[in-house]
Amino acid sequence: MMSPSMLLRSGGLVAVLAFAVAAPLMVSSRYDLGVLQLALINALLVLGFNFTVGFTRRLSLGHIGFFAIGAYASALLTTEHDASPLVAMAVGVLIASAAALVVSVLTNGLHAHYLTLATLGFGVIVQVVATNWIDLTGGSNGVLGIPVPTAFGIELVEPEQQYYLALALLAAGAALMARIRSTKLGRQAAALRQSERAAESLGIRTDRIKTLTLVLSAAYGAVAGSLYAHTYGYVAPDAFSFALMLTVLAMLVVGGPGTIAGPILGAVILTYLPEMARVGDEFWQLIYGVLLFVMVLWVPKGLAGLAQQAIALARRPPGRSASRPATEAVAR
Amino acid sequence: MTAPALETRGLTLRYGGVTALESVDLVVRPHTIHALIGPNGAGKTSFINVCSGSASATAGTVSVGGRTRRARRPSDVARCGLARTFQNLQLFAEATVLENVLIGAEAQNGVGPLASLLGTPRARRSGRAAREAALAAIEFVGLAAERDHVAGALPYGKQRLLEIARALATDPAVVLLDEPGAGFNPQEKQELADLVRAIRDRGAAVLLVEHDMPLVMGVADRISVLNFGTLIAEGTPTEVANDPAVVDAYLGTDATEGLAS
Ligand SMILES: Nc1ncnc2c1ncn2[C@@H]1O[C@H](COP(=O)(O)OP(=O)(O)O)[C@@H](O)[C@H]1O
Ligand SMILES: [Mg+2]
Repeated sequence: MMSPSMLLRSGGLVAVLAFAVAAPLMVSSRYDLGVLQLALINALLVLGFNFTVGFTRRLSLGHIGFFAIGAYASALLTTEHDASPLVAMAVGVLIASAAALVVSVLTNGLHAHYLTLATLGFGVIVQVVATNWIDLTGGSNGVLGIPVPTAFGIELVEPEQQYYLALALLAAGAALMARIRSTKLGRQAAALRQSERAAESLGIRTDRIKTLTLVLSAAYGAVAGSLYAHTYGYVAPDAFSFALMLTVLAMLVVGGPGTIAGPILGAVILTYLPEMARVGDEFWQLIYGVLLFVMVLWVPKGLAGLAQQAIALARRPPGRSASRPATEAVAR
Repeated sequence: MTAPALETRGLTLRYGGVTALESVDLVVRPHTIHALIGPNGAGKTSFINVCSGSASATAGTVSVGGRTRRARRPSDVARCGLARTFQNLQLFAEATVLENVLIGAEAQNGVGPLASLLGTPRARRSGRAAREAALAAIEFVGLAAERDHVAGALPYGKQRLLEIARALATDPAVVLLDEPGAGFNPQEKQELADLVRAIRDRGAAVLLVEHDMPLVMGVADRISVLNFGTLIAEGTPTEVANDPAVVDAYLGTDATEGLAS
């Protein structure tokens, strides 16, 4: 028997999925479909970012580095080595995970600010390598002629097909993340986020949690990067700049760190916003900056958190309500 | 003779110029309530920090359950059977009471992330066992009615009890309680004394840091007295209460304070 809140949740999930499946039929131009595809790729990228910033609240700003590794692995393996896109994606995930492992071992002991700086460095290193290791990456000219993605041996030539591949990967990614959140690893990541000292004192090896979440975030980032490469057929270093890192951060913060719906929502909204008002990139950097500022100050749980609060307020569940500290606080 | 639950030898801790602990030799026997008392700044919290691995000793050794450990991570020490609470509470404030204790109960059950993700039979069995252990620990400290309350919203006293439940859920051989009764009224202190006895009777050794002298005198099997980082006395409550050095350094001042509060 489903509880009302579960019914509401699964109802919402079905509605969102139905909408996502029908979306390509509702857009009129190929361009609009392209925006939809980008929204899904971004959503997967932000979802991965959620493993670190959302789950453990360790602000690791190297995420675009993993995205770039996934994109370049796909680009180079398919164009230079005749690998299939699927194999290339898998190799990209492995390389990104290995890189995450190394970054993690080096940064696990670092406290918040230092971690942020070090991982920021990692993102920069990847972009600089992509730009300057010309023999491998083609330098700032990038890699052209990346083949379309495949699924079950079929080449997905049509943008609609590619859209559904991205949707399937996103749905799988979201489902896996939801599962992780509700099992031991998810609880331990939440424990680490709320008090690393307490988590350690209980015997939780917090450095393993940090490593696992960073590797997971890198794997998601690499899948998003591979999708990106095969969808656009072209990668170049300037796609992996710090500006994208800022955008991804804004997407997560607007949507709601730590939730599953939030990162997806944030990615979709902030992919569409620039399309609705076509002005310069710098203007959007400004908007993202302002959004970050406003959300962190006044809506730290993001739109998803806001929605949860609204639902909770509307229905006030009797069991889980907070006890009232006021009277007893006076007593002590 | 069975191995001590906790034993330190020559334990020294310096913070720059400040000596928080100076060559402390202390033995906590199994199944005993061992109180550690001393004025503010005497080094009691520092002692707990070093024993639990969250501060590393400048010199000296700590052994838990007879096994000497080189200073490593707190999680390694916890896995030797040592649990602790924090003077400045360290709860998982956004999680419920049950979730807080469950995190403690499953921390050392050996189920890996992949097994728990896949929901293997062993992972499910361990999950059920952890849940039962968590519920038992919650019941044990008397928080059953608050099981689904958010930890951060609990009254202060109940937050302290929750920390104890979470520590007990790891099934420790020795528990270090850092001022668990801070802010309690006399009746709550009485209940705390009963709880500490119950922990010992369940089979764990307790190191109790507490300011309230009547409480300590009533509940402790042994008492060690710290002053400026040095142990100045050790013995039964009666021995310690009659020790001139203790009366000089501590009981004369703080005990009256403790009695008054
Ligand atoms: N992290 C630290 N850095 C510097 N000095 C510290 C630190 N922690 C404790 N101390 C000092 O060590 C001494 C012992 O403190 P503490 O162990 O907290 O005492 P108690 O718990 O008995 O009140 C005090 O002088 C305190 O100022
Ligand atoms: Mg203290």
